[in-house]
Amino acid sequence: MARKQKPSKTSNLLLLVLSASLALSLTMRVFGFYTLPHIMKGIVTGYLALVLAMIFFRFIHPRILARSGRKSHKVLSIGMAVLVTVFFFILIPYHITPIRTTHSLKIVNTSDSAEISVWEIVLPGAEALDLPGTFGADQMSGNRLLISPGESLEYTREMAGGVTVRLGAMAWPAQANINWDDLAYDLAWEDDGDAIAIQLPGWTWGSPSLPYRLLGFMNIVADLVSVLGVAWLAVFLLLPFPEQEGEERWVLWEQTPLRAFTISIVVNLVILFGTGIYAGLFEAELHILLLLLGVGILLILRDLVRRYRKWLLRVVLTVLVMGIAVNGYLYLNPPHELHQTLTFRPYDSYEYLADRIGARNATYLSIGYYQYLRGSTLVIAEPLYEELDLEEGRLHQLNRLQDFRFENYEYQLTDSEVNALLQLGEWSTWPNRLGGGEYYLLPEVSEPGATYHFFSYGQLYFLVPSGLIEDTGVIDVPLSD
Amino acid sequence: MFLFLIELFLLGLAITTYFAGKLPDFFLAVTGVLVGYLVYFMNGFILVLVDVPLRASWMALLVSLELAGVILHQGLTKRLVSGMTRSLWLHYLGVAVVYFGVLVFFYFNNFFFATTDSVYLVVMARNLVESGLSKWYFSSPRGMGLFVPFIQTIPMLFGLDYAWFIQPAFMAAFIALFVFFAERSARRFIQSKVMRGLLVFLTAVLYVSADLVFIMTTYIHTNFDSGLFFFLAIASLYFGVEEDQPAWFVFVPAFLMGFGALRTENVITALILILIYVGSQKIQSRIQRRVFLPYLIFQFGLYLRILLMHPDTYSDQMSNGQILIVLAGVAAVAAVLYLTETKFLRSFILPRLWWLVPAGLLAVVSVLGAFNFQHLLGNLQVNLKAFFVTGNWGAVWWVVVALALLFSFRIQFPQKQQLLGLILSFFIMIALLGMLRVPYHERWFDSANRMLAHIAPLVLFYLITLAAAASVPSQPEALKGKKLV
Repeated sequence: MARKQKPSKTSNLLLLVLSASLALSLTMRVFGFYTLPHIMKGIVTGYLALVLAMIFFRFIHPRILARSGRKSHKVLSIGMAVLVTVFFFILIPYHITPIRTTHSLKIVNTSDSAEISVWEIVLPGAEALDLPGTFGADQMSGNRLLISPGESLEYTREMAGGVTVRLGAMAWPAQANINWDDLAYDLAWEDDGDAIAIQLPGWTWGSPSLPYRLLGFMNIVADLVSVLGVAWLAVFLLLPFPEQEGEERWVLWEQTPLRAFTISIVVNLVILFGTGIYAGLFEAELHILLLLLGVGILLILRDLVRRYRKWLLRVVLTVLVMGIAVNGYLYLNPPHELHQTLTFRPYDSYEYLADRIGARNATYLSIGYYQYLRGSTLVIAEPLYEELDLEEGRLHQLNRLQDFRFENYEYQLTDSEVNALLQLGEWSTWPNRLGGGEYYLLPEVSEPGATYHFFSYGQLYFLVPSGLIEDTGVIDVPLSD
Repeated sequence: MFLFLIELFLLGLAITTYFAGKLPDFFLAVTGVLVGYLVYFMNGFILVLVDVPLRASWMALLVSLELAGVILHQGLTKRLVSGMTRSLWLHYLGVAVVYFGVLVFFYFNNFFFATTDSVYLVVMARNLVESGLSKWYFSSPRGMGLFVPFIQTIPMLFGLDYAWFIQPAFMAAFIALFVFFAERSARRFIQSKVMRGLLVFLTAVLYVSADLVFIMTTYIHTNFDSGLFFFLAIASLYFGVEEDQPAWFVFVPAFLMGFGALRTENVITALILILIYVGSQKIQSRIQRRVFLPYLIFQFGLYLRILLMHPDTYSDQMSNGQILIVLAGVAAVAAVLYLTETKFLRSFILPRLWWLVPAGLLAVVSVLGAFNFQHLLGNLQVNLKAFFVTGNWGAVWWVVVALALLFSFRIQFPQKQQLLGLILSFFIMIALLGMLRVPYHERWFDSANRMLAHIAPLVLFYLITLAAAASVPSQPEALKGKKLV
């Protein structure tokens, strides 16, 4: 017969502590705690703690309660868990996650007469240290830094992670000693002076500032609690203790068993594993982590608002306000050049409208004279084509030209030719958008399908129909058929 | 020109006054603005169809005659006396002040936003004024819709180069009507005026504050107006069914005509809308035909006329074959309107249409995608990036996805299936159109990205209604099992 179990405040608290510890350990070891922006440190750790707590309370806690019959079982399991933890730390050498701390590097040339050369010092993030800039150009030989026998080189810097040092010897045999915080390494060159690379670990304590000292301490405590907690859970649940049937009593709020959250808990578990594997295999990209965490949190929220409908609108309004805030932020801090905003336009003309779309020269010319260029043949001298920066293909495309061809003719007009041309009627002008100056076209004699020759006079560019040239004779240019 | 705009506005109001007492005053007043422009479009379209050149004098005379005719008819039928309440007058006055305030402000403060397409639309308007439907240059009705070019002709008839001050009025009308319909929908579920108001207001602010939507206030293009008319057509259908008020249905064909005349591919969306609502069987067959046939006839006529054009412009997108397919599709949907009484359709097909339509579209996309998987995959990647990152939508689609996740449990509200079917169909249609053209690109002015403005108002309306319905633990009995309108 099922019996109702009383919720245990102690086990609740212990599971919460375990969730928080595991969350901190995972964030530090898997999700690059020290490389995350500060706000993300809190979000990622908080999310992991929340999800782990829900997993523990939903799936583990009922089984703990069902097995909590005898005190001796608990004592036995705790004892065994302590033993497992001790073995764990003996078997696997323990190091904290590299914290941001001031590391000290000292390289001593312990050779009798050979010089030691520093090829490079690579900092965390694969950034090579500027050797001449840091130690002075006078100690450099080529691009290597030399250390004479009996002398040493010291470097101190705050960083999160270790460094890689590559040293060589100018003659051999040679010896050097490296001191990295409290660790010492001896190097020797017997048969050649080739470079030896040595990786100096980031987990050494160094001289951290108080906040990082605390974080380092928390790292140790979290790791210890996590291993101990997981070991205890494993032992307690795997040992053949008698189990009583029970009804889950852990509730989030009154009348809301955690069972209602099963789907979102399972989805979050999948997300957790997925992100963990992703972060382990690849560089954990922040936006992907955020996205997955967002999905996880929304699913938990979904289960909450489904139960507590009076909260639903408040949650929706919060999401909307956040969206508006993001829009406002993006408006003030546009992320890319595609940002557009309303701009006052001083002119209301078609010409200005066409100019503001940022069209190429060929497009702009086509927009200006669309009625005349349609189906026409354009003839131009090559230097003028270059000067006007026209694109044959674009002119063809927009105007469905019959033909576009280059001819070698005298395209520069004389004063008298221009004066004579301007007397022929009312010319329609259109700006040459990028090069300056203006185009001139005579509408009354220009028809779609005509053949136009390009002429120039300074920055005045004339589109003259062939018929006009032949009929009026104002331009003294021999044209091919 | 402003006198002409006043005349158009008065004509719009005179027409909407027919529904005074049946539909809300606010809706009638704001819709009057849009009805005025729709009438102008229809007048202009009919004139150019019969080769009458567009001239200010002709248009003013025509609108004057129509205005006089409507007023005379209303006077004779005593509607002017019985329908014009003090509230309606006040609403007309308020909307007039805001509408002309917007027009005048933007007339003296030009904030136009334009891309190459905008200039092509302006050139189309010039073509309409210069040569009716006979000569086209960079673009033609085979590539772009006629509605915006016709609106652009208004200032051209009065000596201006183009219209930079009318689009903001469409934005103002959209905000007013979106808030109106969303609030009306939420009202059925949320008692608190504050919560209801906040929900609707914040959603509207979220939408309008997105970079892309904000710029559409003055952008000379077709997408925002498409979203406006599409949303209004659905909202009118929705409330026509919900409130058992057939007067709402009268506006559906008008809004659909505006929508269908805005962009060449809008006809597909309109046909999907009609099929899904016919499938819902919430409207009597006889009324359905009255609601949808006028639009279908208009769309058929428009495409038939386009088929006879041979513009050969640079941006023509529709081939004769495609136009014939559209004509066949329009005719087929018109035929469906007459077949809804058949037992087989009523029992097996119509009730499932809300998911059969998106499923059918998905099947077509899948088949096309199987032949060109890289094209499909490339489009999907590009679309997702544009919608969420590069498309200038800000947080809009993020919030939509967040709310969709938040409401991923069973919530019922009236016509949910129809709205959901439409939304799903639209997104699949974007993928389908992408298979029939050069690949989409990531930049904000990509057509797939801009086309989101067609569906976004409906998506937000859907989410507001969903949120409102979900906020009450049990569904009101009144919302279950609507009788046939």
